[in-house]
Amino acid sequence: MTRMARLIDITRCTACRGCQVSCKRWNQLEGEIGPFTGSCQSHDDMSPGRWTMIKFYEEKKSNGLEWHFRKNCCMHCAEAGCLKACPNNALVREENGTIRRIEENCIGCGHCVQFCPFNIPRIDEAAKKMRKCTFCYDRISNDREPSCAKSCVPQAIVYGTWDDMVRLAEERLDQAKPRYPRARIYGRDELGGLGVIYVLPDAAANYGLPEDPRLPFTLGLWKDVIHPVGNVVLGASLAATGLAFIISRRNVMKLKESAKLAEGGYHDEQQKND
Amino acid sequence: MNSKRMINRFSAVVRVSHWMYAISFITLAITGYIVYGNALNWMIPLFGSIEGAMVVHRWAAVFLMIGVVLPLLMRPREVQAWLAEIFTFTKADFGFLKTFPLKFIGVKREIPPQGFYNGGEKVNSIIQVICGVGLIVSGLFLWLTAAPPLIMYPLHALFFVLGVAGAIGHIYLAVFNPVSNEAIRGMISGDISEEYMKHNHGAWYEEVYKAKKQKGSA
Repeated sequence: MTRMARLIDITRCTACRGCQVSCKRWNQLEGEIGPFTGSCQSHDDMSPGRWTMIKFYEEKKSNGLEWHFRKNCCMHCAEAGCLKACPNNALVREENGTIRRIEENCIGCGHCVQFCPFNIPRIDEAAKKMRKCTFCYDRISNDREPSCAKSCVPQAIVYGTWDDMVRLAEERLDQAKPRYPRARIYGRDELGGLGVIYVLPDAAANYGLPEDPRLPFTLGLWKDVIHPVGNVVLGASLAATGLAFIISRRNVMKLKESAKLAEGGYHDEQQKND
Repeated sequence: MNSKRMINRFSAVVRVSHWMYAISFITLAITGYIVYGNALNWMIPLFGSIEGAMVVHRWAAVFLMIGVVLPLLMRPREVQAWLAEIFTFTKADFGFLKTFPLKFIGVKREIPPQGFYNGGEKVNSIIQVICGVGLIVSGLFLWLTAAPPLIMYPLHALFFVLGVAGAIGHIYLAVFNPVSNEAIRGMISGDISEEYMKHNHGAWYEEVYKAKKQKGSA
């Protein structure tokens, strides 16, 4: 199957939060009422039961309030830090590009949280499980679009193959340029291509996105160097001691059998003294 | 008769802490490896689940740290002497290490007179001290901080590998190697015979012998 993706066109998004509601409905997540956040943002942050939300980034400028918002959810990266950091094979990449979590393998250890460049995974402390956007894997593997895309009235969220979404993003960028001269595409080149391709009206930093997301080098050091080399070292030390055990027994037996018995090890001398 | 005289090598506190450390270290290594790799996954039922293994991992960590703190509080001078001695390498230690490869496969060779710790025991102590400190510090970060510095993850894995590889060698030499496993008595009953001491820790024997002689003449 080809890699699928979502186009999220922020130049068209009206921040209606329809996606936020439909995500809750399809995935049967409980509604949560949080305190007023001091902005138009509905809740302070993502949560184990809130896999997508419109994030607001408001900035006071000399010419008034600058108002940015973005639909935030798992990007289903090609180079996924969470998947690499997971110690228990609880995250897998499906053929359609979904980074899918396997419920029974997840132990809620939180390694994925630390190594996600976009700060997406959340730990449900009571259930000891990580929760995040599933790309509506159950829907898309049955030829339905994700629930957020289905609910999007201005067609700011569009679902299709990754290649189609890149093409559409380029089209949308051309349409947006006259209004937003600083508009850009985000997610086409980042981390080997994200499963979410944004059309942003402005620079990535205005939307709480890292300009050049990278996996921390500590993750590579850990999983590409120490882990494989460590396995070899542990295996080698077990093999070496096992082999040495057999050889040393044979050497000592030989010694005991030979005429050198009298001047043998300490044990022999002690037995002689008894 | 003289050869049967026993001499105390390790005090009870040191022995109890050694075995507390050893048992928790093995428990930690097993439960840690269950998360680190897959070869020990058949042991998961022993702990109920991986989550159970992680709970055991934290409890074992507490016991391991007690095994470190106990001798520091109760026998600070012995610990200090140990730390001072293991980081000073003499010619005799290098002489010992030269015979080590043969000893490893069960061939005994003459060794230059060794101090309280021989060259091999010093190497083992250094590995375990460095890995122990590294594992405890990085482990506490991973356990107690919500967002630990990311370097702690690879560091914990690195010290795990070095510490366990060292421990495998240590256990082999102390238990399974027929020419070196006599040393384990010092860590079980605490006493070793004077004969063994003379042969394997000549320099230390001389030290004790001289001290006794001086006491006797005074």
